[in-house]
Amino acid sequence: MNGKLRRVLSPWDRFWFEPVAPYALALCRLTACAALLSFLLAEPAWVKTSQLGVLGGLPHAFWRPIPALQVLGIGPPTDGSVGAVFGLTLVAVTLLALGLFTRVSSIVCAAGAFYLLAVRNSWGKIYHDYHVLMVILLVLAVSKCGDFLSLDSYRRSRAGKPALQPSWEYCWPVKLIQLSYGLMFAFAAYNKLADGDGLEWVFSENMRNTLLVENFVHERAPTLLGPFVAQHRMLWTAGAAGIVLAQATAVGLVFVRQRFVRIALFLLLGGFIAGRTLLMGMPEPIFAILALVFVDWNAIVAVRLGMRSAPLPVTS
Amino acid sequence: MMERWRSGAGKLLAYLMIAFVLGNYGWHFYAHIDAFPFSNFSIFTGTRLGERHVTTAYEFVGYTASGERIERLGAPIGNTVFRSWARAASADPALQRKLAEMLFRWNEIDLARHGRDVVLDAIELRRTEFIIASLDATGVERGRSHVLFRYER
Repeated sequence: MNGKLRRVLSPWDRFWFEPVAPYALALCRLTACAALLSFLLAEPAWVKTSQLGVLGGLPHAFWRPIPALQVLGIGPPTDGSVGAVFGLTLVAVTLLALGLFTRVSSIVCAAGAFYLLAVRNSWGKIYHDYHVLMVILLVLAVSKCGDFLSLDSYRRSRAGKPALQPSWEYCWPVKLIQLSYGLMFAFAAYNKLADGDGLEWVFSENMRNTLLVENFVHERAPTLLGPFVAQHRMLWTAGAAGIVLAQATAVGLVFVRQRFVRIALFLLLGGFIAGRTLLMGMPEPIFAILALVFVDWNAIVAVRLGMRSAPLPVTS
Repeated sequence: MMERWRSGAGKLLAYLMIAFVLGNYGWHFYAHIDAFPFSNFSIFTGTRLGERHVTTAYEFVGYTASGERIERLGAPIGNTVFRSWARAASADPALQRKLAEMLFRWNEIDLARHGRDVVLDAIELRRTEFIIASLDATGVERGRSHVLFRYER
């Protein structure tokens, strides 16, 4: 490769393939496990009225498989198939969280979650909330996410295997996971601005109407903040502007390294996620849990130990 | 040699994953497909200053044999989807019966889970308008409401 091309490609290479410690990737693994567990335990297949429990009994006349299921030739589910995949996925996600047989458990976890989420989306309604988790599980399935904070690493250290070295293999999966989550919000911000009439989404009565509909037509929020904000034009407009700003800038957490800017962006994102629950009664924990993928554990460990770059665990 | 081969294969896999994930996002975004993480369409419920904002919602209401009315019932996969199923099945009595049985069973199990052991005699799906009358509204006014369909046992 000549020098010019190398110079052009080097920022790209550094972004994806910089040798780093495995802490952040291990945290991404634990975060994804917590998000998937929160879904499985909220909608267990053994409860006949839950979103997963009901799938096997739905009339096949309304089966509208998503393209991926059509390509794979997967037909309508039965109680048996949903129950079996649910059980397998539950075991796999537990093993993945513990970091035991990580390679196999991460693949089973991704495949099982794909089946459950795809089948849930194949009846004429697309649920958008868990797509990003599917992407994250897929990335984890081909990564070395079990090298740290895992029973596998404990077994390896007991067997006297050499200590881990910083590696590019711990870098790109974290970047791709962060980018998946950040881009999801960036595109949501784009659609708010592009689909409406410029800033109309922010400056019209849109946010007031949304707050009132969410509180008085749908399930009521756990606090009275929503109706309170809906009474004050300045508050609802500021809230709408805050939502667009938080969504548009979340992707900055993938690229920005300055600590205080990162903290500000993280708090903005956290405020938006907390606001959804407190003001609108949208309690899905997945967005709050997955926000933890932006915590830069490699840097935090380095700062705690007064080092410039993150050290590696000695025993694993 | 083995290490170099392993490293090359690992990087190839990384590039494939990066291309797959970002390409998938790009394609869904470009084609404006509503399967994107987070809907690819923004929810916009704006009105002009002083205008009444009207929104509609689909509600299931149940009745017991003694005539007790039970509001805020649900449906598998969601009220709006069930409504479109019921409409699609309207020409097929057997499918309608199957939907009705499913709706009764689903709600009775759900009510039992919440400590209400009741047998439902009828369920109706209502289309109701909700009106935000003025800018200072602190609540939502219930507007016109009519029954879209009714299943009886």
